[in-house]
Amino acid sequence: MVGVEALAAAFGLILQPDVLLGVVLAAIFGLFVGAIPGLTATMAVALLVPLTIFMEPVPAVAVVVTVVATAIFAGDIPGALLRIPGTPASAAYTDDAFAMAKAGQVELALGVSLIYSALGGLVGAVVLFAAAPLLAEFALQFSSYEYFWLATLGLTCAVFMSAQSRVKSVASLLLGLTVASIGLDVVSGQPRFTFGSTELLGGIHFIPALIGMFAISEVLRHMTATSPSVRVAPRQIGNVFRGVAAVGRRHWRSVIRGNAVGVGIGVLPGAGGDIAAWIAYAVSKRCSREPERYGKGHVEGIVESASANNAALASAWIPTLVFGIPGDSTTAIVIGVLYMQGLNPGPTVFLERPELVYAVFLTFFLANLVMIPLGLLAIKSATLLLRVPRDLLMPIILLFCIVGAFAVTNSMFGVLTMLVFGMVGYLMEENAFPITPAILGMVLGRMVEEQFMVSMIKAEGSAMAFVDRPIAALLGLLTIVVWGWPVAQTLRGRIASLRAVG
Amino acid sequence: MRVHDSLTGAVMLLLGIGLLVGSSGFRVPIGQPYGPGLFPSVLGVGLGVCGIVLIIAGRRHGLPRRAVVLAPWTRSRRARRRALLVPIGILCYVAVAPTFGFVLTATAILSTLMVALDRRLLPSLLVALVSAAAIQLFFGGLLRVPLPPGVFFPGW
Repeated sequence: MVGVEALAAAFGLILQPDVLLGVVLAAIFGLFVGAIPGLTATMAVALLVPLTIFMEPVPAVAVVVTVVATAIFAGDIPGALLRIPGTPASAAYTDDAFAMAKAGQVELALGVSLIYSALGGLVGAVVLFAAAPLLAEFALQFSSYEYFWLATLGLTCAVFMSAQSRVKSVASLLLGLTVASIGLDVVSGQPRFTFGSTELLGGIHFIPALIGMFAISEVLRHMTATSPSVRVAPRQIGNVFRGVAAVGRRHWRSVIRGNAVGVGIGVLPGAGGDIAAWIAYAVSKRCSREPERYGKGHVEGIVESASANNAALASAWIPTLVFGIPGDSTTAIVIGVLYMQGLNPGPTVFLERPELVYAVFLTFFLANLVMIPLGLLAIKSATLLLRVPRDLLMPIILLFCIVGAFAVTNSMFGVLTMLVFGMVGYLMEENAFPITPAILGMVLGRMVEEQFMVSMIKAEGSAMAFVDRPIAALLGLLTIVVWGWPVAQTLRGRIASLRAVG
Repeated sequence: MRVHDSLTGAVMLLLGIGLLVGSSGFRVPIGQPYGPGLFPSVLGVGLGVCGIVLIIAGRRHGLPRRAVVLAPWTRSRRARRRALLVPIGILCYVAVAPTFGFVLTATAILSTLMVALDRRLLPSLLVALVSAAAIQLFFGGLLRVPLPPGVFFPGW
């Protein structure tokens, strides 16, 4: 299916001055945001999304890919220097990186994390390049039943992968889907839940909502933090690349395993780099010959999880591009961006615009290659980066949010939407309701409903039609197993405890 | 602010019932078996079930002394003031920017926030003005976003 012409056209699309400049600027922005504790990679994307509206599809996707990859790496910098992970994806191995830095190995810790992050990103990109077109060819045979089940399975995974309470994840997802149903109904054109407001007729745009949930809630958290910010002592950082290759030779099994785990977790809908890093760290510890050294400054876990979190970023795009089902919270945002660009993700995009798909693949290689020199620069200027006064930065971020939310629809309604969702997001986090399922619900709501309605009308009320086709049946079965498993386990536990009592 | 699970559950149950009632009012198009109310009512049932599960789960943890527990920061007056400044700032922007224009409004809001975060007034004003002007130039000039021009210095 790989057309040489399409590939050549893709190179042509990527090697444009505006795309290359965009990638470099995005890398700098991503490194900056990632290196500042409290600012996450998702927040970086949320702040960037309003700008992508003004771009062509390829540069828009390229900047998002670059920002995520660089921010995830840069999260390791404050992890090593301050023991505060810059982004949640670095949390798994922060203790090791910090202990290494304290033992005078700060160069090695950061060098390993930079090189193996970039390598992980490249491996993920190769897998994406190889697997996505094949899957897309297969997915062309899908009907609305398969899509309904795929979307349900994707949302299911999003619920079950989150570490918090499962009921709360489901509730968060349902709230997101409910928000998506506000406005004119796609099938019959009736207004739903608009309470007579003309602003609500067009529905709630996901970008202001997203900026609110991911950025405003973070600003609120900073404003209410009572602990003073940390001071960083200036530190000279020497040759970062010394010893990195030796680490790779000694722990080559970890490199392979980390990449494999990252790619595998990334493909699952709803699980991204954060979860991949934790799982890779756990796997690494279990397989290692010296598990007792983990958490005390051992490089093996860093190699494995730093590879995994960046590898997961690229493979999360496989379900995103092939089925239109996001692999994690950033790809959920990307799906929204693609829809706005008139580029509906799904298998047909591989047939209709193959050059665009290949251009997206190529941006992953570009982003991870650009990351090496710019990442080195970020490590060298780490103490400077960490000393940026957050008390000045947070208000500026707030202003950026206001303008971004306004720019999407050029109306103050967007700004108010952002405020409401910011408060809701803050309260949800305070009460352990995960936010990602809500965002997924908002982005996918319309699509899920459409496939559901088309399937219901085609099936004329017969439930059998949903499982009549073999692939649909398999997907349906999988969904039911994922839902049924915890219920069955709870029941078994109950019966066992009843027997013990009786 | 931590709300007791049973209370959150009750709110969710009410929301689910509201969705069901609301979607029963939608017309089903002629000749079609299902109307625009079907999907929202499925969501309503789901939210209701989640609500009930949360109510039960909350009860199992025992009834708390209070339904709502405020976060520790709410005891500090400074933190309360700072927290309130975020929504107030956004609301002020919505209310005032069309009259006073983007740069003036943004500078005022930014410098207020910075001073509230213990930065000195003069540097705050300077940083606020520079960032507001930069955003005006970038979004208003380069990207042609119609940021509110205001009546005093149109164009600024």
